[in-house]
Amino acid sequence: MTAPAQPIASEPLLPRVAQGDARAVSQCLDRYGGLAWSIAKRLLGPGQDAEDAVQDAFIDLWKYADRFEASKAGEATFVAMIVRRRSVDRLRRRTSGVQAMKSAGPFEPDTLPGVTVSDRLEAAEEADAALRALDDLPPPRGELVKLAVCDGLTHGQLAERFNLPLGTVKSHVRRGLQAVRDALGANLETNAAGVNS
Amino acid sequence: MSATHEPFESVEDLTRGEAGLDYAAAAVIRAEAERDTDSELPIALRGKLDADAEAFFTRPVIAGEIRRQRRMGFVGGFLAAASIALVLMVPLFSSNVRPLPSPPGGPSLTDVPWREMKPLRPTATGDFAGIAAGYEGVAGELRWDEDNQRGEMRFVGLPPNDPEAGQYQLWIVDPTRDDVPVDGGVFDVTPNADGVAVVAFEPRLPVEEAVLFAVTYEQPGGVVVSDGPLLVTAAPEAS
Repeated sequence: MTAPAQPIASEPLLPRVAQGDARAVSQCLDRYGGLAWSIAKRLLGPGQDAEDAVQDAFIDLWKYADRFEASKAGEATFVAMIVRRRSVDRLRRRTSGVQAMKSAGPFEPDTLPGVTVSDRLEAAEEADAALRALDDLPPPRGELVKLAVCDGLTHGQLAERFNLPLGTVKSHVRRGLQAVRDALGANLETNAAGVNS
Repeated sequence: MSATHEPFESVEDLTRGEAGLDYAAAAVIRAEAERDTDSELPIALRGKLDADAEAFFTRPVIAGEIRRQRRMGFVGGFLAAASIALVLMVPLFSSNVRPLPSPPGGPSLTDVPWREMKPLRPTATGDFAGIAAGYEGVAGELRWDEDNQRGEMRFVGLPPNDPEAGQYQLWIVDPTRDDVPVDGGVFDVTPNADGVAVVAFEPRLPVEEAVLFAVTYEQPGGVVVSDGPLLVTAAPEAS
């Protein structure tokens, strides 16, 4: 058992990775390797699939490092988004049993969200804001979002577990994520005002 | 309504096309993951990631390099490419592979008229410059006809090759494709009476946005993925 992962609060590395800085590549693996492994393991369980997902994700990261913009996204969340996508991709294949199933598609960094994130504010604040937003959700919405996002449960599984109609589950998850997204934006605006004042 | 046997659905199904929700989901899972008390990357996996990274960043003419060229402008990109090329020289000379031909001195291209091998309507032109060690004196010109998907190059100072020992290979970087450059074909250098080597080329795959032309020296017949180094490069500009 090792200590909990440290909150990630440092200067972004991806711009240096995009310049081919070998030291930044190694630092990137040092900084985000544990996070990536933790996410993949949550969704896929420890094993080959999780390892493959992490490898896929870092290749994506090297490919698209130059598209990362600290003004648009927090670096750790950017990494988490890529790892999650690659993990979900593998989870889909595993669950469907169809190896040749259409993938989740290439990572499209151009579809980054419209939220504005300052690299000065990224660190753990973004993660805290997301958790606070989840805690503020009316039950069972927060739990549904966590189970869907962090444990990879399908809406069908959630509907059965919570004895809710499928449409209601979908609505809860969607609205929960919207609330998190809005909270991230509000958190950033507040912090930006503090920084600028 | 029972939904237990439905195909897998993830939140991505709900958030497709709404990147903000995708990002929110990433923030949530990141927050949860950072609470993990057992998140250390397995040593064996770290080894694989290091190996992946090394393989990725030592590929020649990767798109990232070219994107840097575009951002930095030609001069900055030239220097960056040159540094990559120097890095790539190491494995080349440390392994049992083809020795590079030695560039001789050459005449200037100035005042040597183009003698096109095929009619071209160039949509872009550019100047080749040697970037590998020892190839600094190599110069060349490029004409690229995007509409007809063919072009011509001419070089001075690019040494003649023995086709049975090795051939030059042209690579075209097109960021609208994936990260692997388009194979522009292999060619041999046989200078004419003016000391100029003229080479026509027609890539086998369509090129939509050529941002860099680069030449390597490979085994006879060429390779699918080159280990480099880049000998000469040209960044075309619309004509």
